[in-house]
Amino acid sequence: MNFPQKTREEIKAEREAKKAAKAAAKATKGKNVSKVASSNNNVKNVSPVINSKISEKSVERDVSKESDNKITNTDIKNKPTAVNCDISEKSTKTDAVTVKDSQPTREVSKENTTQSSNIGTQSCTPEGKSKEKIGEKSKAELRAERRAKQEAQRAAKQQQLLAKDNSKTKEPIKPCVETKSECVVKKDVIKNVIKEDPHQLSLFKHLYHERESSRIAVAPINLNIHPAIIRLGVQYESKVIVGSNARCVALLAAVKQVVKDFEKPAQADFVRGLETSLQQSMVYLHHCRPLAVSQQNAMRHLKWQMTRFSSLSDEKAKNKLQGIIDTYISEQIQLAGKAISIKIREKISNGNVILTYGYSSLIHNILVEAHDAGKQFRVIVVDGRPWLEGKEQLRRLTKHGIECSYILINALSFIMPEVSKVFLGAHAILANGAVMSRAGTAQVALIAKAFNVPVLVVCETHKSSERVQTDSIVYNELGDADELVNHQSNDEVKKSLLSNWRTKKSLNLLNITYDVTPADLVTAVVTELAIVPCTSVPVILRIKPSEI
Amino acid sequence: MIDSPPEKINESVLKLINNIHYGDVKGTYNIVLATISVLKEIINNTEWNTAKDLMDSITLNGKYLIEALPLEASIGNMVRRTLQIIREEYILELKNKTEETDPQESLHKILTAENDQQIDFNTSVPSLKSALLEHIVEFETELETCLENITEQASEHIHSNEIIMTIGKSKLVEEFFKKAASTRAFDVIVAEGGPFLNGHEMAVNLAKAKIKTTLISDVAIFAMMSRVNKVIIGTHTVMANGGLRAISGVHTVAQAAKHYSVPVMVLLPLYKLSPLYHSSYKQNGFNKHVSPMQGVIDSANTQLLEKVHAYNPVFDYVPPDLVTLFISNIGGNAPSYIYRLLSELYHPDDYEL
Amino acid sequence: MCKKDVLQAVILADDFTTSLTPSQNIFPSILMPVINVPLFDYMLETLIKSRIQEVFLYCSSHIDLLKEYVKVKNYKGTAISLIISDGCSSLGDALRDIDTKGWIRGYFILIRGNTFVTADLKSLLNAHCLKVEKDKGATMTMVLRNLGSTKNSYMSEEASLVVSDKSSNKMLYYTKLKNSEKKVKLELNWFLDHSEIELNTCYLDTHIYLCSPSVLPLFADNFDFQTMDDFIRGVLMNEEILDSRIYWQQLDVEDYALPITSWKAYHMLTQDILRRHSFPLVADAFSSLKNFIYMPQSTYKHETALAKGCVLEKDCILGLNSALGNNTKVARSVIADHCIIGSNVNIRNSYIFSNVRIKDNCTIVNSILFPNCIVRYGSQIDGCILCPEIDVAARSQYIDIIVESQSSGVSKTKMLELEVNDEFLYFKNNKLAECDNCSTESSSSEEDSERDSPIPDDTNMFLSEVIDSLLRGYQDKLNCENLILEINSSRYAYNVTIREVTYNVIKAILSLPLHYLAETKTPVNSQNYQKNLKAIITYFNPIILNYVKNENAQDDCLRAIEDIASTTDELLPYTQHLLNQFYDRDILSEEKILEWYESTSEDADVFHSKVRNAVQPFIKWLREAEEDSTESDND
Repeated sequence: MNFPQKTREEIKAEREAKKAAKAAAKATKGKNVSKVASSNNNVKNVSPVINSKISEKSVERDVSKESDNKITNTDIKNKPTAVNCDISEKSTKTDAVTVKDSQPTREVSKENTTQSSNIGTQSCTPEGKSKEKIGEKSKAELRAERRAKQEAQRAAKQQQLLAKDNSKTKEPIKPCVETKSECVVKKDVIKNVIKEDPHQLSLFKHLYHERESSRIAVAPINLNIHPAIIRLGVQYESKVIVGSNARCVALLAAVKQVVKDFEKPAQADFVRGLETSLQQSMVYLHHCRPLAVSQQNAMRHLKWQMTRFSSLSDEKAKNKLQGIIDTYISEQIQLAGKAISIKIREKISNGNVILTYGYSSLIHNILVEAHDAGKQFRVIVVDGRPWLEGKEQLRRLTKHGIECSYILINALSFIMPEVSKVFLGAHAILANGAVMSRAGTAQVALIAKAFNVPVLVVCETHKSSERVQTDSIVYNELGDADELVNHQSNDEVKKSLLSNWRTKKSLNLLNITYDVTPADLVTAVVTELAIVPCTSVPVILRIKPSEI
Repeated sequence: MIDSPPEKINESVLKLINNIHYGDVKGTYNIVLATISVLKEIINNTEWNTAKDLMDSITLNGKYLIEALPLEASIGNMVRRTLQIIREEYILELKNKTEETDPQESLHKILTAENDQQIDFNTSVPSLKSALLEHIVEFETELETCLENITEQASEHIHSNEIIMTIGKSKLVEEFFKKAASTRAFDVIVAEGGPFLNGHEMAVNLAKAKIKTTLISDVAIFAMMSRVNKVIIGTHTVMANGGLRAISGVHTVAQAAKHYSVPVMVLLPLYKLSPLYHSSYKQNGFNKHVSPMQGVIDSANTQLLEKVHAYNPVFDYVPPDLVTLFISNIGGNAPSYIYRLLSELYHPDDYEL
Repeated sequence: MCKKDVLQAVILADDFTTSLTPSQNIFPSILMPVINVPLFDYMLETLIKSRIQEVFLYCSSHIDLLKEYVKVKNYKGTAISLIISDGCSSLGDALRDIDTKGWIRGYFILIRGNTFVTADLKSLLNAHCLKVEKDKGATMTMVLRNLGSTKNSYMSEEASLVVSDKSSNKMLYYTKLKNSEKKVKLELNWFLDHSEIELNTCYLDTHIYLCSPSVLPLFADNFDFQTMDDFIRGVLMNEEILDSRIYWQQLDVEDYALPITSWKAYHMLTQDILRRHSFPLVADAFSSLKNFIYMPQSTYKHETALAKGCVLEKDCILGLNSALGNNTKVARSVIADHCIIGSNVNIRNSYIFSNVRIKDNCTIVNSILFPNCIVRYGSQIDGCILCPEIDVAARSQYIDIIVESQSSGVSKTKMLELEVNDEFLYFKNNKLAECDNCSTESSSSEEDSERDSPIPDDTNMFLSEVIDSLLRGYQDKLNCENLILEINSSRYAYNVTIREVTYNVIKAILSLPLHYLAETKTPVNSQNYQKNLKAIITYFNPIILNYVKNENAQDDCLRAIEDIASTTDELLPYTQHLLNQFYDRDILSEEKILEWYESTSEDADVFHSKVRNAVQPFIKWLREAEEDSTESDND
C-alpha cells in the first residue's frame, strides 16, 4: 500500500501542492491563447512538437555557440523523429534494447515530450518543472526575456539572417520558438534553392518552383494557427499520417478542434473570422505537404456549409459545424468505405488470388471484411521502393490470418499469370476518368491489362476531383530524393555509391509520389454509388451535390 | 559439385562448371570466352579421327555443360556455334579436295543445293584440325570486337536532346551511351532495377561520364515513360522467337513503352541469341529464383516470414512484340528477322543437342 | 596470420542430444535428411564454396553409415578426414579427443553437425582473426543470426538472450531463453564496466563457432565443460583468470543458417528451403536437388514424379519417382523419393521419407514417416512419428505417438509419456496454434462479450480494436500519441461517441493485463495482473490523460473501473490502489470519486456493492485527508 505509509505531514504537503497545482490549472485553462500572454502561457501557445525540441537545441547551442546553417538544418530533420516514432517501422522492430549509460539530453527531451503532450491537450496542470523554472526566474530576467522576445520578432520580420544571430544569445527558455522555426524553415529553403539547382530535373521545374513559393507564402509569424493544426502539419510532413483518407480524417478532426476553440475576433463576423483562420491553417498545412484532393474537397464542403448559416448565433454555428464535420467523416468516408466493401465483396469468389499494391486503408478493410465473411482467397501484396507501404499491408493482413505473398514491383510479370483480380486504391479520381494514386499503381494496372486481368480501383466519391490530367508530370508531388538512396545497411558498397550523389553534377535522383493511371487501363471504378467504368466518373461527379 | 561425373566428360569442362557455379567466372561475356577456350581445348587435346567423332564428343560435353548450368544459355550457343564451325570447315575441306567452289552464294544455289543431311562426316580429313583451330581463333576475335561493333552504332540511334530510359546495369548499354555522349548531349533516365538496385551503379557511372542522368525508382517507370523518346536496354538471352530473357522489371519498361509508343531497342551481341523457344511463363529452368532476403524482405522478422511467400525472380520474359529493334554487332534487325540470323549462326540439327 | 595456414574445419557428426527422438537411433545428426538430402550435402557445398581445405569429421555413432557416405562423395579441393571414436557422448569429450590428436594447428571453424548454413565461412573466420589482432584473448566468436521477434513463431524456443558490449560485440552473458523463465538477472558490473551495453533476445546460435587455437586447450583443462553452453558460461565467468573472451558476430542478412535443434526447427528449415530463403542451397540451384519443377506457391515436383489430378497446395516437394493419386491434397510437406500415395489422401505438415506407401483415403497430419513405412487404407495419423518399416493396419487411428519397431514387436510410446528430457519439442503444438489463429482471435472477443454482454455490436468491436492496438502498442513500445491517433480513427470507424470512447479505453486498459498475460502465456493470477496493470497504466498515462479530461469523462472512467472490477476477480482487491493511482495522477478528482461512491445507483446489484466495499478504505482515507486539508485551509 502506498498511502498509509506516508506520514501525515507528507500527505498534507502533497495535497497542498496538488491543490495549488489544480487551481493554477483552472486559472490557466480558461485563458485564451494570445500574443501578449505571460511567458507561462506562451509555453502553452507553442506547438508541442517544437517545444520538445527546445532542450535539444539549447544543449546543442551550449556545445557550439555558433548555430550555423547546418545545425539548424539537421534540427529540422530531427524534429519528426524526436517526437513521433515511425509507424512503418513498428513491424520490423527487433527486441534489441540499447542501454546507454548516461544521457541527460535524451532524458530531458523525453520529459519535455511528455510535458508538451500534456500542454498540447490542454487538460492538465502545468508540470512541476516548468513551474519551477518560472519560479526561479527573477522579475528582471522575465523582463529581459520579454525584451529578447520582442527583439526576436522584430528581427524575424526584418531579416532572417538577423534571427540567426539572435538565436545565439542564450536564453533560458525560447520565448518565441515558433518565429524561430519559421525562420529556420525559410533559411532551409533558401539554402536548398542555392544548392540544389543543378539537381532539379528540367521536366519538373514547375513542381520544384511551386514547392518553394508555397513555403515562402507562409507568414513568418503565425501565432494564430491552432496548435492542433501545427501538430497535424508536422505529422503530415514527417509522414506519420499518410494516405488520402487518413489525412482527410485527421484534418477534419483538427479543424473540429479549431472550431471548438475558436473565439470570434472583436471586429469580424464569426463565419468570416473562422474562414480566414482556416485559410491560414490550410496555407500552413499546404506548406508542410501539398494538400490531398480529399482534403480540398472536405474543406470546400465545410466552406460551402458555413456560408449557409450566417444567421445563426456563434455557439449554434459552432455546434452545427462540428456536427457537419462528424457527418462528413461518417458519411463520406466510413459509410462510403463500407458500401464499397459490400459492393466489391461480390466480386471476390472463392479461390481467387487478389493482387494489391502498396497500402490502402480501404483495400485493407475490404480484404479483412471479405475474409471475415468467409471468402476463401489469397492476397499478393506488391510493393515498391522507396515507400514500401506494402509491408504494412502485409503485416496487417497476415495478422488477420489471410494468406499472403509479397513481391516487389519488378516481379509483376512473374506473378501476374496466377492473379485473378487486381484491387487498387486511389489518391484521387480525375474528371477525365484517370486515377491518381501512389506511384507504381499505373504500372500494376498496365501489366494486369497486358495479362488480361481485371483491374478494380476502389475510390470513395469524396476523392473525386474536377481536375483533368493525362500524365503524371503536370501535377505531382516531389518526395525526398534521398529516400532513393539505399537504406539497407547490409550492402556497404551500394550505400556508399549514392550517399554523396549531390556532389555529382550530372546525377539527379527523382522521387515522385503519385502517378496517373489512364482510364483505359482500369476495368472499373468501385465507388459507394456504383461500379462504373472510368469514363463514367464525370457522371458521378454531376450526381453528387454541387457542394462537394 | 558433388556428383560424380560420367567418365567421358572432359576435365576442363568440369572445371568450367565449378568455376561458374562458385562464381569464379561471372558475366555472360566471360562465360562465353571461357566456354570457347574449353571447346578449343577439346578440339586440340582430345583424340579424334573423323569430324563425326569430334562432333559427338563436343555434343556430349556440351550437353553436360548445359544441363549443369541451365540458366546460361550462351554456353549452349557456343557449343552450337562450334558444331556449326566444324560442319562448315569440314564441308569446305572436303570440297577443297574435290572441286573448286564458287564463293558467292546465290539464291539459285541455295534453292538447288543438296541436302546437308546426306553429307557423311565419317571421312577422315587430316587438315581439318588446323583449319578448325584457325576458324575458332577467328571467332574469338569476332567475339572480342563484338561489343565494340555495337557501340560503334551508338551515334546512329541517339540524337541530341533525347530522353532515353534504361533499367538496371549493363556494361554494354553503359558503353553505348558513353560513345554517343562523346558527340551529342542527351538525358538518360535509369530505373534502379529491382531489389538488386544495379541501376544505382549504372547511374553513377553515367554521371561520371558527364551524361545527364536521372535515377528513378522502379515505381516511376510508367510515369516517366510519357516523356521518354527511346528505351535502350541490354538483355540476358534472346529467344528464337525474338522474346527476351532480361532482368526482372524489363517487361514493365517494355510494356509501358508500348503504351506510349516509344521504341524499344535491345543491344544484342550475337552470342546471346539462343535457338530455344519459350512460350509459357512457368517453364522450368527459365527463371532463376534467388532468396527473397536479397532485397525483397527483411530477414530479421521470423514471425512474418513464416506466414508469407516472398518471391525474388531474377528474370523477366519479354514477348517479341514489345521489342522494336535489336542492335547486334552486324547491324540493326527487327524481331521478326531473328529466325534468319539463327539459321546463319547455327545448324538446325544442333538446335536440340 | 591465419591466412597462411590451411583452412581447417571440425564438424561433429553428432550433436549428443535427444531432441530429435527417435532419429538419433537411425542417423547421426549430420546425415539427417532435409528434403531427402542429407544435411552433410548442404554443409559440404558451403565448405567447398568457402574454400575450406581440410575438414575433420568427428564420428561417434553410426560410423559405418558415415564411412560409406564419405567414400561415395566426391569433393574438390577439400580433404575430409574421419576421426572415429565410438561411444563419445558429449561435445566436450569430442573436443578433448581432437586436442590430444593434435591435428588442429591454427584457427579453425567448429561446426556442430546439426546445422545448416549458407554463409561464406572463410570471411567469417577472417573477421574473427581481425578481432584477435585487436584482442589477443579473443578465444571464440559465435555466429548469431538475427531472427527478429520470435513471439508466436516456431522459433520462440530457439532464441537466446545475448548481453554484449556494444562497441566491440564482446559477449558478457549468454543463455538460451526458456519459456518458463520470465525474469533475467542483470549484473550491475556490466553497466559499470562498459559504456554501452546491448541486450538482445532476437539472436539464434547458428552452431558455428570461429575458434582460436586456445579453445581446445581450454576444453582439455576444464573437464567440467561438457556442452558448448558450459564452455561459454565457464569462459565468461572466469574471463580474467582464463584471459579469454568470447565475441559474437551477426550473420549477414542475406545469408541463412539454422541448426536443427528440434522438430520445430526441422520443420522451419524445410519450409525455408522450399521458400528459397536459403538460396543457393535450394531445389534447382543446388546440385543434389536437381530437375525439380518449380511451381507457384513454393511447390516443387521432380520431373519424374507423377502428380496428376492432385492438388499441391503450397510449400511442398515431390521427390523422384513418387506418385500421387487422384484428388490427393498436399500442403507444407515433403514427400521423398519412390513414395506411392493413393487417392483422396490428405497430407499436411508432414515428412514422408523414401519408399513409403500410403493407401487411399488416409489422412496424415503433423507427422513424420521414416523410410519404408506402409500406411494402409483409410488410416488417420496425426502428430505421430513412425520409425522405419512400420506397417499401419487399415482404418487405424494414431494420435500423438511414436511408433518404433523392436525385436519384440512394435512399441508405441505416447508423446506425453516420453521422458527423454524436456528438450524434446515436437512441432505439432505450435502448428495447431497457428491453424487456430483466427479462431482464437474470435474466441477471445467472445470472452470479452461474455464478460460485458450488454454493449451493442459496434462498441464491442471498437473495444476489441482498442485492446488490440493498445496491446500492440504496449508490446512494441509505441508512442502514445500515435496510439491516440489510432484509437481516434477506430472511433470514427465504429462511430462511437466520445463518452463511450473514454469508457471503453479505460476498460481496455484495465483488461489489458489479462490479454497481455495470455499473449505471454503467463498464468493469470492477481499478483501478475496487478504488477502488469501498474506498468501498463504508467505507460499509457498520456492516453488516459488525453481521454479523461472533464467531469463527464471522469464519470465514464469510474463507470468503467466499476464494471471491470465487478467482473474481474483479479482487479477487485486492487481497485482501491487503482483509484489512488488515478487520483495521484490527477486523472480523477476527489469530488468525483466521492460522488461516485455515494451515488447508490438504483440497479446497485451485488457486484457493484462489492466494488464499493472493496474501495472503502481508500474512500475513508480520502475523506479524512479532505477534512485535514479543509482544516489546514482554515488555518
